[in-house]
Amino acid sequence: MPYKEPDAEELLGLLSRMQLIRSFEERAGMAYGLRKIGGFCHLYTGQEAVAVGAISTLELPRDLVFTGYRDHGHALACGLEPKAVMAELYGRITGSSRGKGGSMHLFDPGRGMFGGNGIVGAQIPIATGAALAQAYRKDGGVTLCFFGDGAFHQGALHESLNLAGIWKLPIVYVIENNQWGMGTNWRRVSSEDDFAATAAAYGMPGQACDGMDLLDVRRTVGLAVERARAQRAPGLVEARTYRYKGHSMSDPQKYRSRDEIDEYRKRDPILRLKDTLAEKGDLSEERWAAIVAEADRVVAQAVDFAEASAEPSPMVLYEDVLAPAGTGAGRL
Amino acid sequence: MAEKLFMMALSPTMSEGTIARWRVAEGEAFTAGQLLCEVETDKASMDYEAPKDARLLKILLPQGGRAAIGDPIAIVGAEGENIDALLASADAPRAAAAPVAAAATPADAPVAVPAPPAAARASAVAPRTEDGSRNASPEAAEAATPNGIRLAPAGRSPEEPSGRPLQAPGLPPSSPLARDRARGLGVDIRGIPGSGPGGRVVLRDVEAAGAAMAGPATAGPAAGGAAARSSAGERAAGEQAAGRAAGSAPADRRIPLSGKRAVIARRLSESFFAAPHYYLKRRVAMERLLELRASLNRGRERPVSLNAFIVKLCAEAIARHPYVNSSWEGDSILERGSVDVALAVALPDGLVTPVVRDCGSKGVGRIDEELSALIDKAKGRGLAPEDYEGASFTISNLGSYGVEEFTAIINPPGSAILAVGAALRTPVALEDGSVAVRRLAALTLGCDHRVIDGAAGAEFLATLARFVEEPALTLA
Amino acid sequence: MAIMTIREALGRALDEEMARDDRVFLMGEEVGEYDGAYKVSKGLLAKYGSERVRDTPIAELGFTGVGVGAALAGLRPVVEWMTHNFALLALDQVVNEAAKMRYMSGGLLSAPIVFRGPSGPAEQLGAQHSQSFASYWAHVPGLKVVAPGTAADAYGLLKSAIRDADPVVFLESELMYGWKGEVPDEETLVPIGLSRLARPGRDLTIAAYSKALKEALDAADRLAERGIEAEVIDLRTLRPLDEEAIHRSVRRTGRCVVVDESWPVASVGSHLAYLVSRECFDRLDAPVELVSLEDVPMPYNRSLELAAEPGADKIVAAALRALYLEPGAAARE
Repeated sequence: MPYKEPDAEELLGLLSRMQLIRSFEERAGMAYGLRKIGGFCHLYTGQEAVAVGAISTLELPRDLVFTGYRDHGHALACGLEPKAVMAELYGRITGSSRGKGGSMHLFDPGRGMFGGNGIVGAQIPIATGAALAQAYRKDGGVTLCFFGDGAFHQGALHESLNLAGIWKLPIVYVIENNQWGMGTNWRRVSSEDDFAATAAAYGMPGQACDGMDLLDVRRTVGLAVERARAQRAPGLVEARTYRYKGHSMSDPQKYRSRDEIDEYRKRDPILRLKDTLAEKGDLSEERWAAIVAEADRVVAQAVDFAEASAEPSPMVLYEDVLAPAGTGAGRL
Repeated sequence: MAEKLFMMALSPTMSEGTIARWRVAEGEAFTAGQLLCEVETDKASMDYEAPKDARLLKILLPQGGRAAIGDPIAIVGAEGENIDALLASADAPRAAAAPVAAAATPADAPVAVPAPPAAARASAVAPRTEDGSRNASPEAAEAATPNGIRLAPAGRSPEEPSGRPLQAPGLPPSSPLARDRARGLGVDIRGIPGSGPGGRVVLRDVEAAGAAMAGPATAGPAAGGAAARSSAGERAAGEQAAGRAAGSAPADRRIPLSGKRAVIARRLSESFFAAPHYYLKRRVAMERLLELRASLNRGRERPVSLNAFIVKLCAEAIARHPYVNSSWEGDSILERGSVDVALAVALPDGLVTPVVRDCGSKGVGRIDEELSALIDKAKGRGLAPEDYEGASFTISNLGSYGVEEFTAIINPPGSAILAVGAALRTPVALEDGSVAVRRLAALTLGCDHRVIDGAAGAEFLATLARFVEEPALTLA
Repeated sequence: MAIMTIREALGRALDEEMARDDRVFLMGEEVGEYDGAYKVSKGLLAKYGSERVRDTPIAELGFTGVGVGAALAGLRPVVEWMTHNFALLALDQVVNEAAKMRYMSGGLLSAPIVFRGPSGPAEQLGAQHSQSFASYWAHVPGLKVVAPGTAADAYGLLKSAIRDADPVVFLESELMYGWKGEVPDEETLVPIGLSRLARPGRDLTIAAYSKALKEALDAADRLAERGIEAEVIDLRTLRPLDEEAIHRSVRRTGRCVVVDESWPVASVGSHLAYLVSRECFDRLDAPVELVSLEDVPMPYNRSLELAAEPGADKIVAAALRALYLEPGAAARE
C-alpha cells in the first residue's frame, strides 16, 4: 500500500495517542517514586512522536515491532491496553506478561508487538530474523526495529544490517537518536555521527528525520516501510529526538543542563502537532482539553486497575519456563 | 482535577526527605519538568520536578518539614479548584503498598514449614527423669513419670543435638550401605574392622562379618563380652522404651557408649576377627609359687601381688621362647626386643591393660610397684596411651572371681595371652597311683596362629608351666 | 535397520524434518554450497534451495539472533554453529533471548529453535577449539540440552528437537560423526529427557554421554574381564536430566561413576554426582566418583591431550576405587 498522508481525524487520533503516552509515563514516573514499580523504568517522555509516527504506518499484526527497554511508548502505540501495561509495571498477574517481565519486557504478539528487550541491541538480530520469516513466508509483512543511539555501535547491528542486505529482508531499522546513551553524548562515541549515512556501507538507503515532528517521522518511515514491503529491501531511518527524563529513574542527569532540556521542551512534539492542527482549524481548545482529560482518565483507570490487581501466586514462578507438556508443534 | 503530590523516592536508597526549599509559591503555576522544590535526602540534595503542567494550590509540607516516601507534600490542580475534600481526607498511599486484592488462593500457597516439635520450644532444659535420661519435652516427661515410662532421648532441643548421632565420636567411618546391611544382619558395625580408606567399614566387611558369625562360636565367655551387642545399633531412640506400659515386664535400659567401651569393643573385635586364635591349656601346681611369694612378702611392708610373680615368670619364659614376643605386621612379623607385659585389670568403667615395660630386667618388686602405680593412675585420671599400648604379651587373671578356666582374646599388638584361673584344691593321680590333693590352677594360653604355631605355643607353655611349678628353674 | 554414520543419521533427520514441515530451515556457515563443514547437510541445498539452506557470513551473534527472531515469528530454524566454541559470540541470543522469551512474556512467545554443532575435544585442535559447552547450556532454565551418543539417537533426537516447542541446544562431536550404528528404517523419534541403558550390570553404575559413552563402554568391557559387571547409562539429554533412571540404578548397585568430557567445576557431571549422592545416600557403599576432563585448557600435544581426557583408563580406576579394589586385584566374587 503506497504511503498516504494522514487526514485530520487520523492526526487527532495520533495526537491523542501521544498524549496518552505522555500521561502514562508521568504516572509511571510517580508510581516509581512511590516504589510501586521496582527495578528499571525507562520513560519515553519527549520521544512520543517517533513511536506513534512510525508505528502508525504499519499494518499490525501482519507487521511486527521490536524495540529496546524504553518500550512503554511502543507498546501503547501498538495498542496494548494501558491497564495491562501499568499492571505489568506493578508486577501484577494481570500484567501483559503476567508480572514476569516488567518494564523492559512488554509483549503482545497479537498486536505485532514483540517487545521490549533488556540487552542493548539484542533486538536487532531478532527483528532481522522476524523479517526473514516474513520474507520466507512471503506474507507481505514488514518489521520495524527501533533502537537507540547507544545501540548503534553494537556488533549485532552491523551483523544484522549485513544479513538484511544479503537476504533482502523487509525491515526498516529506526534509530531513535535521543542523543544521550545513558550519560554519554552520542557524538563522543561515534566515529561517524551521521547514522543515516552509514546505511550506505550496507548497501541500503538511510534517511534522517526530525523525531520531534510526528509528520516528518511518519512520512520518512512510511516511505521506507512502503519500499520494504514492495521491494523486499531493508532501510534505515534516523529520528533525531530527545528524552526529557533521565535514562532511567535512577539517573541523576548530571551530564546535561536543565537549559538543554528546556530548549527541547520548547519543541515538544505534542504541543507542536497540537499547534499545527489548531492553526489549521482542526483542533479547538475544548477538544484539546478533552483529549488531555481523556488521556488522564484512561491512565488513572490503569493505575487503579494495577493497584487493585492481585500479585501472581507463588506457583507462577515455575510456569512458562518451557512449553506446557504436549505442545509439540509450537505456537503457530 | 486537583490531586495530592507525594514525597517520592528520588534515589534508590532514599526512605524519607526534608523539604530544603520550595521553588514555587502557593498559587503559582508551573510546567512539567519545572523544579518544584529541593529535597534533602540521606545522600544529597535532590530536585523534585513537576510531573505535569498545573498550579500549586496548597503546600502541605512546608520548608524544613520531613516526610517519608508516600506522604503528601502538596496539592496541585487548576486555578480555583475546591480542595476541601482533599485537605480533609486522610488518605496517603504508603510507599510500599500491599495489593488491595486478595492474595494467592490456598491451593497456590507453598507448603508451610511445620512448626518445630514441642521439645524445641521448651525454654528450659527438660527435667531429668528417673533413669537420668533427658531430652524429653516437659509434656513428655510429665506424662511419662506417673506411668513408669523411662524416657529415652526424643526429638531435638535447642540446647542439645538430637538423640544420638548415627556414629558416635571415636568410631570408624562406614558407608551408608554398610550400615544398612549391618542393621539387616543384626550385626553391630562397631565391631567390624574396615577395609576401606581410613578404616572405613564397607559392604564387604559387613558381609564377611556376617558370614563369620554364622559359623560355630569359638570364643569363651571373655571373648563374647564386649563386642556382642548384636541388637540393631541405631534403632530410633525411644522405640523400645516408649512402648511399655506400667505393670508389665521390666523395661529395657539403653546405655550410651562411653568412648572406652567403644574402644574396647572395636579393638577386641578387630583382634578376634583378624587373628586366628587357638588355645592350649595346662594345669599347674601352685604350691611352690605361693610359698615363695609368702616368704618374699614376710620381709616387706607392701606385699607383692601374685600377678607380679606371674608377670615375671612369663617374662622369663618368653626370654627362652622369643618368638612369642612378636607382632603380626601384615607383610612381616616383628619380634620385639623388650618384653612388655600387660595385665588385664577390671575397673568399674571397663577393662584396662596397663603395661610393664622390659619385664626381663625387673624384679617382681619393681614390677609390682609399677603395676600398682598404673592401676592407681587408671582409677584416677586414667591411663595415657603409652601406659596401655604396645604390650607384646598379656595376662588375665580371673582366679579371684572363682573362675576355673577361661579363654581370653589376644590384646593387640601381641600374639599371645595367658588366661589364669583360680588355684583350686584338686585331686591328682600321682606316679605311684596314689591320689593327692594339690592346688592346681588352669593356665590357658591363647595364640595367634599367624605368628605362633601349635607346637611352638605348646613349647612355650611347657616352659612356663615348669617355671610356675618351680620358680627356681628361672635361675637356670 | 540400516547401518549408518552419525553424520548420515543427522543428515537424514534434517532431510525428513525439512520435507515434513516447510517452516524448518537450516542456517549457518558453509551449510549450503560447501555441503556442510562436516558434511552433515550434504545434499540439502540441492534439494531444498537457498531459501531453506542459507549460508551465512561469519557473524554468529547476528545469525543466531536472526534464528531466534525467525522462531519467534513462527518458523522452525535450525542454526548450525561450526563448533560450539564459536557460540560464545552468540551467548546472549541463546541465554538471554531464546531461553527467556517464553518466561518474560508470561507465555505469549515461543522460540522453537534448534542450535546444533560439535562440542568437546577432537584431535589436537588446541585450546580454543576443544571445549565442551554442555554446562554452559545445561545451566540455563528455558533451554533443553541434548547430547546423543549413537547414530540412532542422533537421528531420533534431532527430529524430536526440531519438533520441540522450546529452544533446544544439540551437542554433536567432530570425532563422533564417523561412528556407525544401527538406525531404524522407519521414522523414529527419540524422546527428549530420557536416558538409555547402554549396558546392564550389577556391580556399579557408570553414567556418561556423548563421546565419553564409548570410553565408558570400553571401561565396562575391561572391568568385565575382571569379573566386574558395570551398568552403563547413556544420559542422552542433559537438561532435563533423567535423574530417576540413574538413581534407580545406583540404588541397586551401590556405586556410581559419572563421566563427563567437560571440566570438573560446575559441570553436568558434577551436578549429577551431587544429585546421586543426595538421592542415593543410604544405598551408597562408596562416594560418587567423577571422571572429567582435567581442569586445564586443552594442550596441542597429542599425549598431553590424551592425558587430559576422561578415557577408559580413568574410568576403570574410578570404578576400582568405588569397589575398594586395588588396581590389578582380582574382582571379588
